[in-house]
Amino acid sequence: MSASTRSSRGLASPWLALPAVAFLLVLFVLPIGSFLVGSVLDPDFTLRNFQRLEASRAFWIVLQNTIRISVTVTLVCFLVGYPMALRIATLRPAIAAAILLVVVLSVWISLLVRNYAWMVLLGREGIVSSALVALGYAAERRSLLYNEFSVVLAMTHVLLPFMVIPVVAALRAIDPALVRAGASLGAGAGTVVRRVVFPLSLPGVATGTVLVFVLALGFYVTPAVLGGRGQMMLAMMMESEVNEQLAWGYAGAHAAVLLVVTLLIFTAYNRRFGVDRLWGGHGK
Amino acid sequence: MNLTLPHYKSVTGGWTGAALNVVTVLGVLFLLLPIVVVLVISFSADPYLRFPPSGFSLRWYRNFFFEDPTWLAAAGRSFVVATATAVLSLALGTAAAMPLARHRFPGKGGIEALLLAPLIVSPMITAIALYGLFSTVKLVGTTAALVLSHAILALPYAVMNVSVSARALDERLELAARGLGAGPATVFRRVTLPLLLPGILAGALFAFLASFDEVVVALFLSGLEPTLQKRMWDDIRLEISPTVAAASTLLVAISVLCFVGGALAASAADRRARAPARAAAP
Repeated sequence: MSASTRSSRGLASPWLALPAVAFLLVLFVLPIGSFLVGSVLDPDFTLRNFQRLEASRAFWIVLQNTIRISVTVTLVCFLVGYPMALRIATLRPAIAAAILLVVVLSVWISLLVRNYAWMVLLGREGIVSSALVALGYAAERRSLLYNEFSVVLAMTHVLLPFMVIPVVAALRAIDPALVRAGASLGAGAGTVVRRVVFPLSLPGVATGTVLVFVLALGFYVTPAVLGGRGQMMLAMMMESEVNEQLAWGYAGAHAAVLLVVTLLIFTAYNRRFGVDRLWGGHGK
Repeated sequence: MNLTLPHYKSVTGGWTGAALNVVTVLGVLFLLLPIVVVLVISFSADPYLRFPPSGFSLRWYRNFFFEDPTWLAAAGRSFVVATATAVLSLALGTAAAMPLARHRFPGKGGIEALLLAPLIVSPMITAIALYGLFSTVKLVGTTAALVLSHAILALPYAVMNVSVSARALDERLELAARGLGAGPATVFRRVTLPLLLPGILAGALFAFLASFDEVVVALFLSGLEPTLQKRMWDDIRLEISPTVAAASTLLVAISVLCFVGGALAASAADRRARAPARAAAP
């Protein structure tokens, strides 16, 4: 008996995870580590890059842009995503599954394709500009691209599923008896949602908010393609430091700031809700 | 027709319900319509992006497939990279999923966090770090560098999907095979692997897609022969020709195929997970 138990252990021995772990350590942790360490070594220890960062007006503006855009996107995702999730979670399973399929599928459509779609829609010859002219709201066709509106819109388009999916999961975990009890005690629909359903769905809201906000902080493609000068974000700044200025150490300082903020958010989230909530289920 | 779960009738009636319906319909349209617009415009006859188009043609597909060879070359490169990425991440991910799905052990939480980290860390940080690494070993522009990098991002999907199958796997089947005299390698090949197949298939399709649709790492690492995403990026930054719409339509088609295939395989794996008794029956 003990021999067979051991052999079954052999088929699922923890050591089987070693290749994947070693792979990530060598190709993910190590390169990022050396990128970050490069920001304080030149070749000896120095805080020059961080002093430069602190004194740079451009950095503070870009940091402000990054946070402002990420907060706006997170807020819009919540305002649109929560009602969507509530409706999906209260639908009969077949219809709910169909809508959820669309939401999850959209995550798997290329990010670049989805951003390109907004270029087509909001461009000078796009349908929005045509409609504004046709309805008399604008005298002539003009591009609605390269501003905060187009960036927030496209980022919301990309990140909305990351709010909807965890909130649906949280709503589905609510005991139906509590909802029925609230209603039978005379609470109206709005009160039941506000006093019973919403508080119980908070873990899902937290997961969605953290995911959307953290992913937004690191965005590159959307602000680069659809944004203007005022939408320069941290990832874009890093890219230009490396590719145009060849200032690796300075780029590393930016990366350190971004990573520290990300880490702080996740630590706070982990304290309160546990990161393993993010793990589990399949697909994205 | 009643669409609402019985116990939620009180919530989704009246004005609250009406508002929820409106937001949900608009939200789904918001997610879908831009993609539909790209599909439509890829068949446009206009020489520039205009919606709605003044006429329809296949000229942008002709351009993609026959006139500008750089598009097919880029698609070919992406296909090779994504296939190799799927194989590599599945090899690493299947092994890792076995203990992660079936047992508790010290350090498990740390491993799970490590596997998820590449999806959370800004792709720009990952891309620059990998660019630094592969510059020092003079591998920038090679297929190997792209595959190794994409495998980092594909690995979580491989592990997640195989885990679903691995959790469903009845260990008694493996024990029975061992008891009947099969060696560990034979048990894995003849018992474990076939039972993991739905999860492996789902993982492979999602891993393929994760690589095929990846942009930022490819910007830094694809060198002189761009991947399809890099080729589209170059086009979008310079001229925004409708050929990008044709390429996008093909990408959407590949996404839908992989997603549907992956979702079917994943739900097969999930069904097995819910009915372990049947799998164990003789």
